[in-house]
Amino acid sequence: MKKLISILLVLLTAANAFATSGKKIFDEANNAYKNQNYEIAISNYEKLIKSGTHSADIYFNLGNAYFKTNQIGKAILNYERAKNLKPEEEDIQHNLAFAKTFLRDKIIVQNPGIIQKFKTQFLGALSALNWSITGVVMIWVALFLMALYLFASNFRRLFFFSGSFLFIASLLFFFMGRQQAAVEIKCGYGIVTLAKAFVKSAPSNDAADIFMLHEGTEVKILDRVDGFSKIRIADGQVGWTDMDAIAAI
Amino acid sequence: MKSKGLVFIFSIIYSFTVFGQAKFYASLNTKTIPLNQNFQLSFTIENANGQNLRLPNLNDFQVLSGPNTSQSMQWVNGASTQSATYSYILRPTKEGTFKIGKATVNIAGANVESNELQITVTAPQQQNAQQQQRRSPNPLTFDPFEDPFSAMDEAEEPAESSADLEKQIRENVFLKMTTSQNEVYVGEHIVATLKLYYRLNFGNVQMTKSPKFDGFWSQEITIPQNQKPKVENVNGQQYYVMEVQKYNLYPQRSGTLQIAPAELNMIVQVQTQRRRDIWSMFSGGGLQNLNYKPTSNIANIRVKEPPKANQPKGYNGAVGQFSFETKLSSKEAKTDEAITLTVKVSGSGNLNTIEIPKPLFPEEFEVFDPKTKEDISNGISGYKQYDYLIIPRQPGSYKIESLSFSYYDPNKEKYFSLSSPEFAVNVTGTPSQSIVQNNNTPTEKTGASPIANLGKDIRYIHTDETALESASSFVSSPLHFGLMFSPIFLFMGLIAVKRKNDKDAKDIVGSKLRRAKKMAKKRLTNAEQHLKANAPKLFYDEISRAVLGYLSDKLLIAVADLSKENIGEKLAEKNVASALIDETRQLLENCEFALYTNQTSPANMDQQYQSAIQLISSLEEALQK
Repeated sequence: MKKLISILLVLLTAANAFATSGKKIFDEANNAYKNQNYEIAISNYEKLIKSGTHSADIYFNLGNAYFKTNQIGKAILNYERAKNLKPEEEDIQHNLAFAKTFLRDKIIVQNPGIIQKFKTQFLGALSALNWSITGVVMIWVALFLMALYLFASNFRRLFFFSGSFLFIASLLFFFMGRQQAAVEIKCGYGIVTLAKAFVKSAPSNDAADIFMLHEGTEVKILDRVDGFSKIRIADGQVGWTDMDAIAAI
Repeated sequence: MKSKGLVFIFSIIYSFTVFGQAKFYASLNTKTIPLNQNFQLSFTIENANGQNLRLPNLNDFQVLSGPNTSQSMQWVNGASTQSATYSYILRPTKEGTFKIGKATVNIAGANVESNELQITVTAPQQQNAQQQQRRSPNPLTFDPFEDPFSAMDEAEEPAESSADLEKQIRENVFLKMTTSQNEVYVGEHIVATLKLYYRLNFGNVQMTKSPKFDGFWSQEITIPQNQKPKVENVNGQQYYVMEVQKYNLYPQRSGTLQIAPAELNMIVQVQTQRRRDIWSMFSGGGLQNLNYKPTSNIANIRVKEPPKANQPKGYNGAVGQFSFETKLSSKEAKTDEAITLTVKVSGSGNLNTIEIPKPLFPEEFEVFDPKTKEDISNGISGYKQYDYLIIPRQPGSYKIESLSFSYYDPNKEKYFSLSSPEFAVNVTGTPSQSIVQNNNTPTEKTGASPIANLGKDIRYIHTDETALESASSFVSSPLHFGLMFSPIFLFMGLIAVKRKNDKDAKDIVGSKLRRAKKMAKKRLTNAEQHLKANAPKLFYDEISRAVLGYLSDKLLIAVADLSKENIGEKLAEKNVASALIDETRQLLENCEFALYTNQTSPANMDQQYQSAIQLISSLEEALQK
């Protein structure tokens, strides 16, 4: 018993020490940022993230520090990560939009096809959270109706059909929620973090350059082969670039 | 998985491998060479990575091809020898003994020299052509589409072999890639020219492989169609020179960049001495048309980064000589009246790839995407101009902040920063209705949105301690899955409950029978308690009630409707043996008798209890048949 208590005590103090050291690093980073020592701020925020603290605010602050050191690509990358965790936060949206005005690549977006357009509009009608919550509510109502079907003596047919319908609809809402979540967190997308990235026709250094991207541009990562990432930019062009040039959101 | 493991093991072995000492030496494949034959000069770097190989003076020879690089790795008793060889195919130009001087290479920052060599060039020698060809299979001159008949001729007349013809062509027609400079800064402009040197007639020129400019931003320069061939002297021989293609190149990264060779396909007219058949006499005697594919050399260009020291803030990679100017069409404006801000960079350098600084406008200005104008001749000199159309929407006095543009001048080896003046704009008039909304976050995914719609700086960091709490999202969390799928299991549970209920409901008679026995036993346990408490009145009452209740349940007749008389009838209807009926009647009578007469003894009571149990189980047995 004594042993157990002492172990618990050690664990508690360790956890506490970790929490306080996290707090210390965070304060240090904030002070460094305040005193415009952005490099120190960056290294401290990165340390926090490495230690497993993933919060929208830390990504936001890190994005700010990168922005102040003119690393637009990394700034946008971290704002996007922050936005994934807190989609509604207004400061994040503002800074992300502001950082995007410094983008150097202007890509003319193709007109999406009707099906694609319908898909994005339909999915985008509700947020991922709303799709999911609605799905959960629906399946519980469906359960209630099915219980009525089992035990009631009247209107059993009505209960059965409405319950089944709600059940199927709830599954649909569930999958929509997950789809929309993938869209919201930009799953499979990356940001160019090098100042310039050459995009080649094949995953080889000898391949011809097709086009050039600048930092901060968003790309879809399609594949990874031998240190190269296959990417697609918004206008549909596809090519290969050095894996290190792109960081996944 | 397996291959990964292997790679891992190899990497471990590799890391323990002892490399021998670094070596750099030159070698020849022969010490003496006839004047009309080729030999190979090789430079080998062992166990080191060499950079910047500098060749000795090779003016006494003609370089036919090279450098051809090859790398090898030998492994003997755990010690490995890694070597890289750069070889050149040379052809002597005159007889005599020649010295080949020292070559230098940079290994790990130090210059290392190779040994000197000597070669004796003897008088030209006739040689079996096929042998010759076998000895030096040069991939650059190997022609898969070689005329098969010429090979046959070879066999007949060794002196006039296709290898000799090839050699003859190679000497007289070759491709060369020249660059205006070999050492430049990133972004500095150079011109690469692909030239064809020739001393034979040719035709049907096609480019089968265009040069590859890896790491360059390249642009083709159009060459006038009817250029007059120039005459150039190469190694004492006069050649006609024609420019095949010209390119503007802007290196995009530092390091030694290589221009991969180009290849042409052409038909060359070669002089032959023999007159084999009657047709050749008519068709011009000793002239033969051959297909030939010349390849250009690999051009190396050393690209340096502009120095980091004194690099101005916001330097964007411009190299050259530039001037920078901004102009505002009017300093006085009325609301909703357009004014124009012109930002122009002119000069010479990498105008194609530089970016024009973006001005920051006050939020009250509506600014349209700039109109771009450029006029860049030859890809180097000219100007790039952005015209911003501005419409002030609110009266007041505003400032357009000064812009700065910096560039590196490779000639003066200095950075220059140019900045534009700050403009003050006075806007009069009434506020416009169509004010651009603030905080209008752009929804488009890519592309820049007008700066005027947003503030001038990012918002400050979040310093709240709650920032340290890791966020998690409900969607796809365990809670989400639990809430979503638990109803399915609950529903299955409900189905199970429903099934059991239905089963019980179907067996309503059976359940009543079971209940009957249970009840009777329960009644009898009450009786047993009374027996133990020695309460005869209660005991007999209980016994008779238990038996009657039991029968009522069994026969599905209410207790009130039961009498000693109809019990017999009912039991008879159920095919109960008359002895058992009598026994039942007897028991009930005994109870009544005991109740009325109060003649009881414990032994009697016990006997009565036992016979009641006996009776009920017998009845049970009889009724279940």
